[in-house]
Amino acid sequence: MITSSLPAALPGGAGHPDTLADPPPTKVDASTAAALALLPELAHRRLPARRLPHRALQTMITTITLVMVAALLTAGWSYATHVPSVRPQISTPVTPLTPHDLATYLASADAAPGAPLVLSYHDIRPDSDSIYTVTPADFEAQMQMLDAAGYQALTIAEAGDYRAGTFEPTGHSVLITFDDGAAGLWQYADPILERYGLIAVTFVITSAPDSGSPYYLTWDEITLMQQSGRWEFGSHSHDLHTKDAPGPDRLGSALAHPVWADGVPQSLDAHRSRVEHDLDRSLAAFAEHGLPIPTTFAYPFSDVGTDSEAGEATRQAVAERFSLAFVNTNRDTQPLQVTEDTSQIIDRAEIFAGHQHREVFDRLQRLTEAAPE
Amino acid sequence: MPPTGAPSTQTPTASPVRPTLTWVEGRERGVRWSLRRLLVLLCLTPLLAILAVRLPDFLRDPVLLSYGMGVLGSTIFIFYRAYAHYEDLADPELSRVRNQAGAPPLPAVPDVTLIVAAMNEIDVIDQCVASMTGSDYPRLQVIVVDDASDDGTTARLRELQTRHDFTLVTLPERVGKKKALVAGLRQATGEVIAFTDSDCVLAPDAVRRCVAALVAHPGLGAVSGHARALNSEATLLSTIQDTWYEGSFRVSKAAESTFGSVTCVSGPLAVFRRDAIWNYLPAWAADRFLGAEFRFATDRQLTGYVLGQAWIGSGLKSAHADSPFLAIDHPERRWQVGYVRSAKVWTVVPESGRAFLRQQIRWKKSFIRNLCFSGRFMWRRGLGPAVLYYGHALWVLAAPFMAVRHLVWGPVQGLWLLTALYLAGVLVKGTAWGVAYAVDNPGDRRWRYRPLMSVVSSVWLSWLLPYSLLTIRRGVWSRTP
Repeated sequence: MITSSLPAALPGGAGHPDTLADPPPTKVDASTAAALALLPELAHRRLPARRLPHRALQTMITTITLVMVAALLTAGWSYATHVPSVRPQISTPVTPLTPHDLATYLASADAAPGAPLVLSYHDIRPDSDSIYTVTPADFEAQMQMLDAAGYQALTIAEAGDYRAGTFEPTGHSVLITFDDGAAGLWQYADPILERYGLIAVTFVITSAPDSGSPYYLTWDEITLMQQSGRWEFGSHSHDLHTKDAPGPDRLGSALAHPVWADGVPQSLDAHRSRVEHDLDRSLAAFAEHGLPIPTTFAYPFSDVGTDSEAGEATRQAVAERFSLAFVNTNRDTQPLQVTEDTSQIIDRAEIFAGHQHREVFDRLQRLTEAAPE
Repeated sequence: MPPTGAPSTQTPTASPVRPTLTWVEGRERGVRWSLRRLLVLLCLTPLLAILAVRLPDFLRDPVLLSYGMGVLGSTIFIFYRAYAHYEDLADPELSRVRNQAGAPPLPAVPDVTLIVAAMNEIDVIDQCVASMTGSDYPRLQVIVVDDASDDGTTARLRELQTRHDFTLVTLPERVGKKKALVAGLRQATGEVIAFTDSDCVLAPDAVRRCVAALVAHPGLGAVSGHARALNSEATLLSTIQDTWYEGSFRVSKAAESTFGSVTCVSGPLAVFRRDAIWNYLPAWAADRFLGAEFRFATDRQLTGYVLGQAWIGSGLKSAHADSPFLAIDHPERRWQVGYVRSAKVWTVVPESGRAFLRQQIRWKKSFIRNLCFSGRFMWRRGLGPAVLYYGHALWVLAAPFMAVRHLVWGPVQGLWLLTALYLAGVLVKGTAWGVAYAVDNPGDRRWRYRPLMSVVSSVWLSWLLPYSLLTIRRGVWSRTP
């Protein structure tokens, strides 16, 4: 490093002021000096030398920059992932039914009523690959079919009274249920139910609303649904809608099976208290949001547990809190029956993606006609 | 007369931007650098906001959004590097280039050879030669090679020799631009070799500034100048191209330069150290691709030799071991290749759509050929250069598919929103480039034309790639694709 010899070599630059206000000339190496000699335009430039305040200032500015960028990225991310408390409802156009189908449905309205069947859905939305998700168009057609065929949608109270033998529906009847409490129920299903004057029950996983996931309803939407009079709500557990129970029966739900740790299942008491705590937590969630305490329950993954003590404990905990409990085994689907067994678990007719309205109608007819009187 | 376009002319309107920027530039180097970074990121806030808002969707479904996010991310990256990090290499004190090449420094005032090859350029050869010999560099050898012109250029050159001092090399038979240049270079005495094109006009200090950059930074093997359109006002298309060139140099090349890996030292002003290219000139002249002589890809290929010689140099040398250019062996080095923003040159751009398309097809073929060459080693030059190079290549290769998907398939399926979103993205990108032009050229209204270039590129030029691929073997001198 040689001290710059530039001042002497400058054309007309002799005697440049070297007052105390000027920082000392920067040291340059030979290559830089040679290049500067080629560029007399830069001869009169004085670059400030680097001193301690500069270093501090630079650090401060850099810190501000980093904070600014981090804040911006965080703000953008939060904005994008924020789930609005009430999303817009989307209207589905009326699906045109063929005159033949329509005639069939209308004709069946006059037939003698059978027992009520329970229908089970999950999510209603377009653009989904899941077999559990029914498109709004298909759902619209199915509800239109129910309306044309004179089906009455029951409330939970009416369903319970039917089982007790104190309620006689005047025509065909059905109990429409939805599991999981997906967002599509507010956005797509509710307008369709309103169109045909139908009502339904939704089983909510009470830890999901307002958890930040866009797939589930928010509590605000659930409240609006409750207020509309078209919806009733049941529980689908608080936080046990998982298959986290490690152990030999690995595919079991965390509700119906004890949790394993270090190769050993938890004790029966621990299991019972865990299940009871979760169910009570779920009931409390409804109360916290000003909603009626649910009286119905849907088993996560339709897993009611085995014959073990733990399974028995789960079923008992459910029976103590709920008057009706539902599953979808799709093996022994029957309509509701008049019975005195309050712990009976009711199997539902599950509707999958792609099921057409005619299929659902035929299934309803077949199952309710076959029901024993 | 070259248009000034230089920022030395003061704008009539009093804007707070200029004095602020001047104040920032006067700070101590480290403070100045951190201030620039802050200012640039502030200006990039809109683009960063879009990126942040799209990020959750992208993480959920990477494939669907990868193209858009890739374009947005790389635009932000390139702008950041060009504006926050780039220092003009002709400023010896403010710019830094690491000497990874371990190269000896050039002499303080090296001999420079400025060479051009001309074929039938009767309309523009006067101003080209005048600007070359009008360079204010003291030790300059000017060589003009006439590649068997038959429109009177040869006679005009002989006449010009009486008025200007240059060496004229006339070739009896037409051999093409690369071979013509190499023939002329056999008489080159400079330690620095500068190339220009026959339809260009250099600023008087352009060569001197490029040489100053090479002198200041021994690690540099080559630098590119800053090219604009000479005939900017001729047609709408030429004005659009002028704004395109501005950004392509001041932003894209500057970003590449911050990594020392400018991939194409452009023909209008390409300045090389002799020891970086001399041994590879025979390979350059005899370049073959897919079993045939490849007559395009002059500047890009030559830059490739400088960038990649550490890895592919020995093979190229040994293939031409008995050439006079291999008489002295220059060791293969890991050169840096940079860009000098203040070295101005103006070039003629195509004015008609047809001429423009022919040029773009030539460029696409050059790109394809070079991808098969530089693509082999660019990843060795570092993460930054690799991201820029392969990212750009992917973008060019994806462009036809994107164009089909959004401009043909989308409308056919009735998905007009898809088309609208694509065009909106194109316009956002074009507007960002337009704003950059406006910032760099205060008072110049032509920034409004820059977004049009993005539309031209996406809607029109993207279709040229398949055509270029299919016709790549067809290559003649310069004017027909």
